[in-house]
Amino acid sequence: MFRLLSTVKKEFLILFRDKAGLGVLFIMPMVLVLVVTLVQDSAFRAVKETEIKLIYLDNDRGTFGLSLERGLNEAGNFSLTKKIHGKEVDEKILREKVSKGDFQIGIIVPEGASRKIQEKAIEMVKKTIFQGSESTSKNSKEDSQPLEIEVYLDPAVRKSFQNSIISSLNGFAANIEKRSVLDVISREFSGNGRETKKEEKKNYREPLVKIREIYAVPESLSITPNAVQQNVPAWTMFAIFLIAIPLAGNMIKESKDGIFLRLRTMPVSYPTHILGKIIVYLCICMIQSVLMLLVGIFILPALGTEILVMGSNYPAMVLIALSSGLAAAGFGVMLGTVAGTQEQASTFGAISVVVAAALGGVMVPVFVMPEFMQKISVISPLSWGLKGFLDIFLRDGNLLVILPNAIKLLSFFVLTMFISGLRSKLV
Amino acid sequence: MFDFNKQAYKISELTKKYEGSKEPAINNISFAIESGERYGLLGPNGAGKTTTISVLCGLLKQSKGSVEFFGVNIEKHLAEIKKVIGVVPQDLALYSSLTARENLRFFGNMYGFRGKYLEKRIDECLELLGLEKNADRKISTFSGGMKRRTNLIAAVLHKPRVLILDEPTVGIDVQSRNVILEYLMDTGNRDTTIIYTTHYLEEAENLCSRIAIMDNGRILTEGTPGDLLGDGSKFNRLEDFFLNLTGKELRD
Repeated sequence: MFRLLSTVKKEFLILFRDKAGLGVLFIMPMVLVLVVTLVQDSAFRAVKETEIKLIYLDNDRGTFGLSLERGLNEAGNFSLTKKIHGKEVDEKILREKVSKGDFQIGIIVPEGASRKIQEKAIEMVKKTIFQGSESTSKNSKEDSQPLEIEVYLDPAVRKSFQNSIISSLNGFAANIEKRSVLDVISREFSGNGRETKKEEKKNYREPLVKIREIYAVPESLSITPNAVQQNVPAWTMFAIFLIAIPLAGNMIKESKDGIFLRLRTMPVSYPTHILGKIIVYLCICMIQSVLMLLVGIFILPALGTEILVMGSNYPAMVLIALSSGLAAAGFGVMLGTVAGTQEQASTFGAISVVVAAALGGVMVPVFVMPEFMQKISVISPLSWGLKGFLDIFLRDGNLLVILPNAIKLLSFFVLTMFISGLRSKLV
Repeated sequence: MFDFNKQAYKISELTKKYEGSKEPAINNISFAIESGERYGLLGPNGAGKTTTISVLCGLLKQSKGSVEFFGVNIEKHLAEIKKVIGVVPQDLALYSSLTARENLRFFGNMYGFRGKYLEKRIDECLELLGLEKNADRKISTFSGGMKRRTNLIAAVLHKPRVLILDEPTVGIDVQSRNVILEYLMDTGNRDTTIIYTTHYLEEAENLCSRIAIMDNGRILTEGTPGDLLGDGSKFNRLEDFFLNLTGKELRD
């Protein structure tokens, strides 16, 4: 125990005298999480929060055009413009504005749209109720064409985004069409009295199926995914695994300088020597994690982002951070015993951590990766740690929830230590 | 456990062959080192000196043969043996970002010493080797000679019964070499057994009570400097004797 404490003290002294190394370990990950989060914050907002800029031209000026306009306004995610510099929009201006990217969407409601939809509703009702009657034979080819609403889309807008806009518009149109049909039916059966008719109309207008959105987390933790919630835990994992490089370098330097050989002639065991290093670098991981979380809680919100919401399961947080730290330290020790030179260790270490980070969802969330990459991502220890943190932060996960990932990380530590032991021929 | 009246080392038919190597690095050598002796192992590069001392201090396991340390088998009691031997490696095995005192405190701790006793011992050794004024300077600021002297202190803090030195005076100035040799002479006179490898033959001639000359993994000859260069010998200098035994061709 005394020898272990002495080793820990020595490692701390060496580490704290290496100012540049400390900068890499503490400052760089904080800078990284700040920059990446701020860069991605606008992208997350564009998708999640920003209103869609819509330019609207109502040539109909009837019930249809007004209903559609009201529907778009009530939807809440469209910022609707009808006038530019106090002047009514015309078709030319509308196309120009959308093609320049000033607006993401432009809608033109054609003249006589309300009348046409009314006629089509009457025809549809009659066709259904009085099948084979004269009224149906009067239809010309032109009248059977559906009403067309022109929608202009900014080509820079992503396909998925365009689809969601079109889907919303189709919903509005279907609703208006349904109401028109119901009005016609009501009029046709008006003999049953005004009150009854009103009641029927009301009933028909109520949806038969209603979708109720419920987040699968407690109400107190109603967090929507944002750049902070994704990046802070992701880059914390990256920072934790970054310690593998200086740890491996430290071991190789000891070996090259003959210190490791000297220690082997002394009455101190290899596990004591290595454990001393692991304890120190584990402390570094814990400090790094706390600093990164503080960035998410204080610095990022001060720069205009959302605040990091961590949940309340602190024991689970400590367990996942410790397991991740041990996995990273184990990787560093393995690297230090397998690599022949410091150059090899730093190059291989840096590349392998970046690859594991990319695979593990640090740079791009796993759920947006192609399916086969999602399958591969499960082999990255960074994905286990990140999933653990996200389970706590977004899903209010407790110790039991994160335990499988913590066990995976601890198993990785045991495996790397075993390989190091074999390599050192000391197991 | 140890019988200090017995020979410090008794080496019998020792062979060490590295994996993948055709020839053994040391080939069936037998010799003994008496307690309190200053024993010199000389030989050109690749002769097998470092391999031999690596086996003697437990860093390497022999392929064949046996090694006894004060009457006990080295393989069976390595942990106990490590407490009473000191090894000065050829490399400057010190932490360059720590001061001399911090280095010595750490290595002293590894031998199980601490507190006032250790601090007193560190001061004593620093003074003996002329480093007391520089004790709190980082090793990275030391000259080659100062580093070599600190390297030696790290191996003698625990007053070992056997001190094994692998070329401890390589690349240093005459003054530092002189301090180291004087220290070793004094230590050797106080019951510490010294095993010393060097390329400086004059150094071995002056310091060692007995010398073995090795080449190609074998001991070519062994004896006191007086025996090797005595009246019956045709050589006046150890260097001439050495070249006669090992040849003049270059060894890389």
